[in-house]
Amino acid sequence: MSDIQSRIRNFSIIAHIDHGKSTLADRLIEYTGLISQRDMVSQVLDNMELERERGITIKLQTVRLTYKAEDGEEYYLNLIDTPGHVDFTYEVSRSLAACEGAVLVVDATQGVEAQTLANVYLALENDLEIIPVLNKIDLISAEPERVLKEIEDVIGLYTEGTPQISAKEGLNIKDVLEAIVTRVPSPKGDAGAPLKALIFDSYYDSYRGVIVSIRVMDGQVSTKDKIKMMSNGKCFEVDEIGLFQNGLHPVAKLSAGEVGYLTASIKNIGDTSVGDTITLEKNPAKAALPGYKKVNSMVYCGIYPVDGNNYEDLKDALGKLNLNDASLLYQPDTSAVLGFGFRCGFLGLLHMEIIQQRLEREFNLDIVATVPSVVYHVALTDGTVIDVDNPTNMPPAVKIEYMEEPIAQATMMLPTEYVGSIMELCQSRRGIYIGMNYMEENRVVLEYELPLNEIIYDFFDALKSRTKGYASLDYSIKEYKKSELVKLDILLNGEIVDALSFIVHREKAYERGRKVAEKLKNEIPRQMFEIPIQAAIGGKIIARETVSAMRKDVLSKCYGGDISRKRKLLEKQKEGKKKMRQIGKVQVPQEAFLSVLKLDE
Amino acid sequence: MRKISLYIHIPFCKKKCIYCDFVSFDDSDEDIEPYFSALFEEIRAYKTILNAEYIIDTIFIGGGTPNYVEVRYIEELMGVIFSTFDVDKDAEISMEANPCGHSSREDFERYRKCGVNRLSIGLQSASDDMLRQIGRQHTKAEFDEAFKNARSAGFDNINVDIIFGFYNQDVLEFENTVQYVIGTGCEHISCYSLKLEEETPLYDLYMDEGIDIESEDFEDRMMYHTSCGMLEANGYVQYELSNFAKKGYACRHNLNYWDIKEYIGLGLAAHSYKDKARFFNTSYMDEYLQGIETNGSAIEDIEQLDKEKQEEEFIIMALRKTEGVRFDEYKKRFGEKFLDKYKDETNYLIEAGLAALSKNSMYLTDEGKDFANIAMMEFISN
Repeated sequence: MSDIQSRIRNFSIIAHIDHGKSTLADRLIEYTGLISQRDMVSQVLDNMELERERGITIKLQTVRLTYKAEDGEEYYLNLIDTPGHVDFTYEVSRSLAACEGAVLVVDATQGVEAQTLANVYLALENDLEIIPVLNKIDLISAEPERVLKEIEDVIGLYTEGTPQISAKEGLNIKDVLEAIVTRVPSPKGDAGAPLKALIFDSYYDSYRGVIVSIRVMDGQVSTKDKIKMMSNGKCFEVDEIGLFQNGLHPVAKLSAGEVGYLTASIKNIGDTSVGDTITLEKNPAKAALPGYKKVNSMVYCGIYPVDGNNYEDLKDALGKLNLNDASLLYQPDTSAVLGFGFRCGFLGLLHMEIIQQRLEREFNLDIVATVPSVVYHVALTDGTVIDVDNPTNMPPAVKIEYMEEPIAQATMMLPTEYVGSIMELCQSRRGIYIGMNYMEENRVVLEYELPLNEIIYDFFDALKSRTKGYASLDYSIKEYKKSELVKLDILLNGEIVDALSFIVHREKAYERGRKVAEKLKNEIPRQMFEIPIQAAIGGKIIARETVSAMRKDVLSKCYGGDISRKRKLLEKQKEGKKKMRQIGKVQVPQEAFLSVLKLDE
Repeated sequence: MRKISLYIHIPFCKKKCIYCDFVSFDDSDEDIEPYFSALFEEIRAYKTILNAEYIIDTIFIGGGTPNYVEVRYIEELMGVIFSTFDVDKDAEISMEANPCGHSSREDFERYRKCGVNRLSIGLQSASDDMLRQIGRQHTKAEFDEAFKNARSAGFDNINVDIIFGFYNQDVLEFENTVQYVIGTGCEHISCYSLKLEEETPLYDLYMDEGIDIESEDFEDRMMYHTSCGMLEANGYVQYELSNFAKKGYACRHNLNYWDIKEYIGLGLAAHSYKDKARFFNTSYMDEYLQGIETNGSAIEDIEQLDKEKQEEEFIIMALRKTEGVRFDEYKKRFGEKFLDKYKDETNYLIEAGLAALSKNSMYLTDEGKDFANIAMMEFISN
């Protein structure tokens, strides 16, 4: 092992949302002097506008720090940032595969949460050294003793010497750096062996083409080298190679143990699938590194432009988003009422919401998103099994032998006082109780089996509101189970609106049909005619509401000579109309499509 | 000679009505004297702008309540106008008046003598209960007397304003009001549907009581169509959404607005349209007084209309009129055939039953009058 290799530390920071992961990353960068405090935009790594606004990390970022340790040696620390949310478990595991250690940030005022655990399990799967860190120690409500005990009892980590810090105040940051240097192992790997480099991220830059983030496991790679992607055999010549230091910092080569990037005039991001192994065309490695589990989209919905003329713009926008977010799936689709659009697949509900918001903000598009759906397995009477992620494609009942739906294993952590209420919530969502453990006197871990299609209907909001925000949730898909499912159609003015159809358990259909109809009644503004809203299963109407007719829309007042006032009122009204989607004769606001999801308990 | 109209704003009232959001004050009588001084100065400042090329076609003295201030102010105002501008000898000169202001026969004779030849008197309702509820400062009897005084002073062109659509207003009560107004024999009737405006006491009242204004729409339309029928049957021809007149008595001044002709607004918050630009004065009294004193002008903002906006305004204003958009007039102004340019919009409105065509125009149907905004919106670009 080279001298340099022994002084490299590759690590991630993992944490439950809001426990201070990004703030700690900022402090580490600042402390090691990569960016002066003055120049630092808060939370350097969260560089997407939306990320900063919502306080979460969506895309991972990497940065290389140089740190002179207590022992007098200089160390190179590669911090590979991870997304914090449950939807992005896949991205977390990508980052972790490139590391030897993980800093586990726990909020000293909150303690261990559902995603803390989920992230720890991922880190353990990847055989990482986990360094717990207590954050927010400066707050009066901090309970370091309690939380340390919780870490030992619940997670089973040894907590002696755990750094107790305040990332916000910059307190004891050095302890974290020392712990990384002394406890995270230096990377193994043979610089003399054939090249094996793991692709853990890639993104598209319009000037340089695809930029690939790599962790060199064995061998070395230099500029001008001919590299080969082991999954598809495609070869490229390396243009530039470098470190993530002050942006992109070119160097001559990267050797075993190092983390960096390369560019190779790769125009198609599909050629650089994350998890693939890069080797050299000459002297290739014999076997590829173990890849990642292929990510499956869990939630699907249709996305349509409000104005059908903007289809091409929407297509461009999705293409651009996809370049930096390979987990977004999209393919052209048509809806009888919404025209041309796309069926999109997401990692989860948050992912879906984020994509929708990015389309609206970054690309300035007015879109309509249809009711989200999970993927159902439908066994037909002819013996074949098909996947259905779009209610429109659900075959008629007579052709269906049986259906299966995805079941998630959900882990919730909450204060004991809310257990009754949350159990009731889970039961009402067709949950099956698995177990409950006391983490300490007044906090429990509650385990349920929950159908994923119940989770996507507003479950997280309901959980939060019933526990005043004190509950946390993590879930993963466990299996598919047979289930009595039906397609519920919504009719507006007598016409089926395919974009509002959804698949639901038979027992919940009546209740949900009624609620959706009620909700739509409040969302759809009065129009020149009466609008019946109906919910139907097959041909049978199970609920009906009516939006009564508007009687007038006229401004007959004479504003003297103030004609611009009249014109401006009409302009404003027209703006509002533009945000509505015409379905048959009915104008439907965008919110109506989303509101179907938010059915208050 | 270019014809132009003048609007003069008198922003003073005895007491503001609870539904009114026009710029007017009921607690600032000390401003009356300085206001008129400033107003006269503003008028004189326009002398160079409205030079010998222009002739004044119509004048409208509105408010507020122009007959709330002493009569001598209006006399002096007319004197200043006549000595500053070239006023057509057939000019229509209107003044708004309320029964709570100066309204004796002698007062009306003085208004007439100084040049006013048309009155617009605010009645709003012939029910004393309703008048009290909406904050009017007069009774039906007081209106009746004011109206007779105006007649005997020689006014032969009088408009009466009425309003409907208040919460819980009885349809029969409003029919009585319409019947009463017809009985006065006035030449012109303006019949307005209430528009609830924010920042009025009525708005606060509705909010406090949780009244949904839309819940009154059914009665509102009933009152509207009933009154339209009653007025037509009695010789009042509807020429605009809210305006009815006996033959030859349509208000020329308001028609100039709706025909997108030029006018100059003088006084607080007054609006002007000249050389394809809309501009207006400040709504703040101190800013107005100071602006006139230092610059002879108190213009707050100017908007130059591009061709698109000119068209929009021409069409939406024309749709208010019973005759609708006249194709010959449109062609003359914009050089294109209306039906060529707005084929889709026109077809849509006809199909929806909101508009109809005559040989030379497109106009709103009776149903279209209830949904005029929807029809107008079709012609708003962006």
